[in-house]
Amino acid sequence: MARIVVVGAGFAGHTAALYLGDKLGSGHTVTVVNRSDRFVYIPSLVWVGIDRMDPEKTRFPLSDVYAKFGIRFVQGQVTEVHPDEQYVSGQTEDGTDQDFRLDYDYLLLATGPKLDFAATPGLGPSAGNSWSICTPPHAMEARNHYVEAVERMRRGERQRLAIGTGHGAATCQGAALEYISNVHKDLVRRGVRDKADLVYLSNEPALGDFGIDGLVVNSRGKRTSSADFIEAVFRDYGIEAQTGRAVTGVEPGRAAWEHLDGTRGETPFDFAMLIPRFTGVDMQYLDKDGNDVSAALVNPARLVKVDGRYGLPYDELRKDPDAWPAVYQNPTYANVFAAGIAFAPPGPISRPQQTPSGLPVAPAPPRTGMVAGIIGRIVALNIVDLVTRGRMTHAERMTEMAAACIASMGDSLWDGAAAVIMVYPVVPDHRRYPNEDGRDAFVTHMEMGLAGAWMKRMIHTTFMHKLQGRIGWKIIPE
Amino acid sequence: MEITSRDRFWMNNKLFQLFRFVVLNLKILKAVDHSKRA
Repeated sequence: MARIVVVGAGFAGHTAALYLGDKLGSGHTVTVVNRSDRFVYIPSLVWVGIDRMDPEKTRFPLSDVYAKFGIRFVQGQVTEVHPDEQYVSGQTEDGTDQDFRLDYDYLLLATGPKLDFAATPGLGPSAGNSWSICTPPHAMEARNHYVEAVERMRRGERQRLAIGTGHGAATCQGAALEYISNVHKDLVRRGVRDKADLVYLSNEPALGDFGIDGLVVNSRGKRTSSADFIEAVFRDYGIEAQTGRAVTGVEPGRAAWEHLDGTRGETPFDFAMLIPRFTGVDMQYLDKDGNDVSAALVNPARLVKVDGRYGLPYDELRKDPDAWPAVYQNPTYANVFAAGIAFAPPGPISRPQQTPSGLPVAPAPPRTGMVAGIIGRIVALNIVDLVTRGRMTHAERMTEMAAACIASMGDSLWDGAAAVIMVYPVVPDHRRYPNEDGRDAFVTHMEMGLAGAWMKRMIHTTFMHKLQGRIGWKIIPE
Repeated sequence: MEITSRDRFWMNNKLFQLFRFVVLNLKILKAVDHSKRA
């Protein structure tokens, strides 16, 4: 009988848990540990943040789903991993505050990110200067402050809304883009758009970079870059873009930044939603004598090392698709895997840059949503393989993986719109696609229109169906 | 690149957008087909 522990129940951990529960049956034990007792469909929090969706529609209880699959659920936080003795320990967070210990044969760390607001002084809801839409409570707080700004506009006051990233190494620019587009549409709908100045403040070297070095598509016989595309959208929406900026501090009403060219400045605002840097969560990794063995498991950002080739210079990494991890297995502890934000990518996809003073302005590779779900499935199927036949048969690198970002730009199914941005593969593979961009020219695509709004709603509905393990869940792609 | 009034018309033309909806789904299916076999 194998004991599998999954830490985290986001896209990666929850997807993995469903496959493990489905494939392994009652002869084995699958246990999921998660701080919240509910799954959160994070992509829809952009709608919560503008008061267009009830937060409850983005969540469902995990225990009901796990009961169907014979999965044990512990609501709590893992604080220690003991890879030699093969157990994790922590405290429950279901109101009982009890210590727990879970022994494992296989461990999947799918913790998601630590929202590292502290890396930027004054950033984030606890400092009270800027808001975030990364969790339901954050999105609700952002919504409340956004609605207050709208009220001020209704009274005739002009408001400046800054939306983007709050650190030079932040990721998830797609969420910021989606939020600012939705804010624009929402202000139009509320009849106060003429009272608002919208500013997109980002660490991307250029608009449309998204941490994947942007994309280029052939459209009507000419090549169009994501930078041109997003610039056109911003011009149309009247959004000011401030890119290539590492936010260095946030104070009431202003965000200080340093630009790639070394200039320093401030962006004043009345409302700000700035996404923090993501790092790995704080857990201790201890051997049997209580010594710290974190160097074998995590990198300095506390992201779990897996089977990628780390330390390659950017240009070498770009030429070598095999440097990207395939099975997401820790090289030192072969029964420890990582998925989603929790695994350490071997390097950036966008060329890393820094300001003359040495401040990194380097968007990190996105590992959320579709990418996280796919990795969760790959790891789960490999653990099933290891349990049942002793060897792994599944592999998928980010150089083989597709990702779709559907940036909602108005949620109405009649006159809404969304920018559909699809890349395949996420990390360019110049060996397999010997074109200029290293990507599949049919799938890699971007367009804006009503069809995107339908896609966005369809994906919300089908994913909520899939992730609740309802009939036909396996045929719905991650 | 500019978003013209012609672009705006096609972006909200229901019949054309239905066609685009089908095409976008085909693109996603092509990409995930590889993934499902991984």
